Order: sequence, then structure tokens, then C-alpha cells
Amino acid sequence: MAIDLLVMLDDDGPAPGALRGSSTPGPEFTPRPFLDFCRGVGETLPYERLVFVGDGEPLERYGFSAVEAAHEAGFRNIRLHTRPWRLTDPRQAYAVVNTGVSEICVGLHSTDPELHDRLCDRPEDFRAAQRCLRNIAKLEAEASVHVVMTRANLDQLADIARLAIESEAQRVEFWAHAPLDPEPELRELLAPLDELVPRLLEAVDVCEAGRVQTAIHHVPVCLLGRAGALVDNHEPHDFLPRADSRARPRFNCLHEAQCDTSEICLGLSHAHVSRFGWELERLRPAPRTRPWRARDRSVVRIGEHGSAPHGHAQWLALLGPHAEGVEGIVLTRDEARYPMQMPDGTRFDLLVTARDETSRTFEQSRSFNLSYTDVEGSAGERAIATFLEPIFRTITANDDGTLSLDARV
Amino acid sequence: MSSAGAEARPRSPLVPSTGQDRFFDYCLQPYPPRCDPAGKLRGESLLWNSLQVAGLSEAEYAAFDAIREAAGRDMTVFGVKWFDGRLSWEMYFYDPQRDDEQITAAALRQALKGVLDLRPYVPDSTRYFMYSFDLDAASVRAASVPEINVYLQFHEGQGGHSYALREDSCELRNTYRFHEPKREIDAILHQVRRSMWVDFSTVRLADIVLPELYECMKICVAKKRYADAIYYSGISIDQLRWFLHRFEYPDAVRSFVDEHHADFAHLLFDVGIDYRSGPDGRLEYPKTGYYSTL
Repeated sequence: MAIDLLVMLDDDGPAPGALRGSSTPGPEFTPRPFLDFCRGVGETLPYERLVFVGDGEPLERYGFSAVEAAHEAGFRNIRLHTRPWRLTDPRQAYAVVNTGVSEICVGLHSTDPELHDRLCDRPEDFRAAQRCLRNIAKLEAEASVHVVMTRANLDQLADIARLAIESEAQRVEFWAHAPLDPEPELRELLAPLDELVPRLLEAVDVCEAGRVQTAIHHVPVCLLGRAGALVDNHEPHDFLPRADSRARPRFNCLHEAQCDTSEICLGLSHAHVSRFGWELERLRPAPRTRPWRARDRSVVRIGEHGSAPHGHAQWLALLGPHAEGVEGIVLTRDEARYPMQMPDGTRFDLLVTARDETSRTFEQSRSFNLSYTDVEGSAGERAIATFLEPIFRTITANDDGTLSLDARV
Repeated sequence: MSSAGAEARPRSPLVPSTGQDRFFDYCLQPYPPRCDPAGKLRGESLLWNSLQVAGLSEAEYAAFDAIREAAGRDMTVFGVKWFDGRLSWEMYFYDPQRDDEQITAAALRQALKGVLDLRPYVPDSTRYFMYSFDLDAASVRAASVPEINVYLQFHEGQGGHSYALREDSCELRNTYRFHEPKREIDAILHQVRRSMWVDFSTVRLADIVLPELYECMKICVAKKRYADAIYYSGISIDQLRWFLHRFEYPDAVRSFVDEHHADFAHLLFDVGIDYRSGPDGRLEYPKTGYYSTL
């Protein structure tokens, strides 16, 4: 389960780990679906934390009502990612926290105001960040700072950590810069790993000494030593999934299947690989101690978990209500296979092939031979036959002759 | 029949999915769709778009219609190739177990007679597991295919050799092998790095094993006569969009896929990239292609 649900109110606020707002517009936030979501969550909250991101007019219009709804739904861990100028007025900061925001996160990317403002592409952002952090420090909310590590600010990482601690931030997050594809100016800011890692480790030491929580994002775990335990690469679920998955940075490592940390380590951003290569000589995979499994690549959307197999609608309909018990369909040139599991754990494939009077089969419907194959488990023939009997009966009743395995029909 | 003077409605490249669609990669291996296909498009829409972009008239689609009729819906893999600034196509036919006697090369040759003349004859006794042939605007207009590619499988592992068969000649064209990208990365890198065409003192691995395509189902590394090639199978529509932009496909192909990308979200696609070191030492990509089923 994802820990965070990311609610992008608008694209003006920099998303976690980004220096600036998104240049590609995402789906428009409208309050109704979110309010419906909050009303429907029930007692068991589906996410540990809600993360609101915004800095534009939608944040102004819907921010308070959305946070109120989330709070009423029972969410107590509610983070706001915004630009600091929004919270330089103490009354505004108070109002935000009073509505239910428990954590406010702003970017702090340099100790040099000019460099920070340039990285954010926003004049006066540095001074606003300091005022904002001072305001939050007086309130019942956690102040978090996110630092995007670039070639331009590597030398300052430890000093940025010190500044964050002085500003009473309770949490500092270090993000490897991971720009999206078509932004050459931001690509120039990518930092080589051999320069980034030692400076990051220094900054982590500063945070540890200052007793602030620290998290590292998007840096290979294998390069961090004991600081590898601070790596947090949980991907949030998007409340409004972007139509284009390229709107978020992507990561890979060629050692993934061989490395014991691949479940928590994403590897390198594609932008980094394009600039510096796969870093095969630098990365040091820890030998795996357990089997590796590939990630699920289906398109996941809110509320779709545990839904029936996708596609093959007419072939699923053949099974009537029993379709809910199959784990998918493998439809080839000459057969349809439905992987199934019996209550005792025995697994097999229900096999549907073209009706053929000459071949040995278990049962026949109007168009098909019905049988099973590839049994794994303890159930005997009689138990399987009993399990399948109502399924075969349904198929026979539903098979009106219109469905065919012959692709030329 | 349309009456004289009536305007025929242009054929739309947008072909809606149906509840009977089967989902195959470019090796005709089935895969589960990534999300509900209802209301979305069939992969063949990419083929019709490419024919339009290449300037073929609808009358010239007849060869493709005939191929689908002969092989069956979803049973032909098509590749759209981008080479020397021109689009062309390759049609692939798989039946390694010879389950369907109507889809042998000899049977298809017979079935397409009058629409497309497959000149070379491949006897059923040849133990190929697949075959293919290229089409371009000229060969479609001439209704003639001078060359058939015949594929012979390795004993172990997924891969094989391909031969180009003409009426009067036969030559080895290609040796290739498939791998799981993550589990078998060492084998992939081994094959990529052993090359007669690429100088790895000046070429970066990341320009061949492309991060944007690495998240895929299979990677195939091929050794060809005049280049090496890498194929990524089982990529998403967003990865296909990246590929079409990266390799500078015609605007009308890119914009079609961009516009309809949500309608292809349920599908997986496959792409291939020929590469070699150019005269200046930099990697060049003389030919690329993308695949789906008809």
C-alpha cells in the first residue's frame, strides 16, 4: 500500500523533490471528487498521510475546504507543500494549521539567497522561506524543509542543514535532482554521484547532530553506507493520476534484480543516466538474499485494487459469476486459459479449446471442449471435478455459439 | 456500391477495441491488458495511421485487409519502420507449432494471390517458426513482394537466425536473442558490448540500453549485416510516445499517438532500434520501428 496520497491542487507549487512547479499541466482539481473520497474512506484510512501540493488559484479556492474535509474524514497526518510566500503572514500560517494541516514543507536549496531564488526561479523566495519557517515554529505543526541537491548547491548541503535546524525545521529531506525530459537548463544542474554522496553524508551528520528527522530520496542506497537506512522512495498514489506517466521522474538501475536493496532503492533517474551513464562501475549491489520479483506494470488507479482481470470481456462473460474467481485470461490462437485456485489452495488452468469430437475432453459446450490442465496442489480428480461442475454448467448455458476461437470469424 | 458522385467516407484509422480482442506482443506471446480496454482503440490503429501518413490511398490498404483476412484478427504482427526518412512496414506471421495450416508461408502465398504476389516460395517442410516480409509504398503499389524473411529458432532460449529468401537467393541476415531485461542484464550487456559495429571507446552504453525503455518485458539483442540492434518489447504507450519523439518520427505519427495516448493505455507495444558507430564516432540509429498486431 502506498503511504501517501498526493493531491495536486495545481501545478504552481513544486511537487516533493522538485525545484519548481510542473511545466506540463496536470488534470484540473475540482473539489467534488475529493470531498466524495473523504466521505467514503470509512474508519480504516487507506493512506497514512495526505500530501497537498499547490501555490495557485486552486489552492486559494479549495485548499481550506479540502483540508477540512480530510481532517473530518479522520486524517491527522496532512502535509502541505507550497511556496513559502503563502505563509509569511503569521495569521495565514495560523489559519492553515488551525484547519488541520499538521506539516508544512517548503524548499530551501541554498544558504545564498540569490542562488536559492535562481534555483526556484522565484525572486525573494529565500527570505520568504525563512519568515515562513519562523511562523510555523510558533504553531502546532511540523516544519519540513526539502533540499534539491544540484551541482550548484552541493558545497552548501551541510550549511543548508544547519540553516534549517536554526530555523527550527523538524525534518529535512534531501532529494537528488531529477529533472524531467525536455528541460536542458535543469539538466545542467545534475550532480555527479562522486561529488554528491560525500557532501550529502556530511549534511546528514549535521542533521543527526541537530536531532532533526532526515530522509534521502532518489540516491542509490548502495552508495550511502549506514545513511542508506534514511532512504525513502515510497511513491505516493496520485489522487488525480496524470494521463502521462512521464510527468513524474522515472528511475532504474541495471543491478535491480541482483541487489538486495532493490525494493527500497529506485536507482538513478533517467535524466542522470542520460547525462552520466548507468554508473555500472560505481554502484555496488548487495547480493540478494531472497527472490526478486518484477514490479506490477498495470495501470493502477485509485479504487481499482483487487478488481477483476482487465479485458477479454466476452470471454469472462462466458463464465458468468464464476469470472470473479479467475486470476486472468490467457487468450491465444487456439485456447483460452483461466487460471484458478480452489479453496484448499490447489491451482490449475481451466482450458477452453475449439469443440472437437475426436479429442479427449472433460466436458463440451456448443462451441468448446472444456477441460483443465497444469494442476498444482493436493486436490484429486474428484475434488476438482466437483469444483468445476457448476462452472462447466454455466459455460454450457452461456455458450450460444457466437464466441469462437477462430480469429477469422 | 456507392452511387456516382457520392463522396465515400474516408476510412478512419481509429479502430475501437472489442470484447473479443486478443493481446499479443510482437512475438505473438499473449499478455494481459494493462487496464480495461472498453472504449479504447485497437493497436492496428497505429498501422492505419502510418499508411495515411505515408500517403497510401485507401485502395492500397487492400493488401493489409487481405493479410488480416487470411491470418485472422490479431494474428499478424506489424512493424512500422522509419528508415531514410520514409515509413515502411514489415508483416510477421507466427505459428511455431503449425497449429493453423492456413498460415504457413505457402498457404498465405496462395491466399494472397491476386492481391499481393509473394514471389519466393517457402516449402512447409522448412522448419521455420515464423516468417515475415517487408512492404513499402512501392511494393504495395506493385502488389509484389520479392523477399521473405524466414526465421529458424535456437534449440534453447528464445532467439534464432533469420534468412532473406528471394526467388534466386538465400542469405543470412540476422541473429538475435531475447532476454528478461532485469534478471538477465548480464547476458544483455555481454551481447551489446561485443560488437563489430560499435566502438565503445566513444559510445556510451546508456545510448543503447536506453533508460526510458528499459522498464519493459523483454529485450532482444540482434546482430545484423550492417548494424547491431536492440528491441524493447512490452513497453507502455507513454514509452512509445517517448520513442517516437526521440527518434523523430513524422509529426503526423507523433501527434496521432499523443492525441490518442489514453486510448492506447491498455496495450503494450514493442520497438526496435538499429545502431552503429557513425564516421564521426558517435552512435547513429539508421533504422527504427514500432510494433503491434493487426
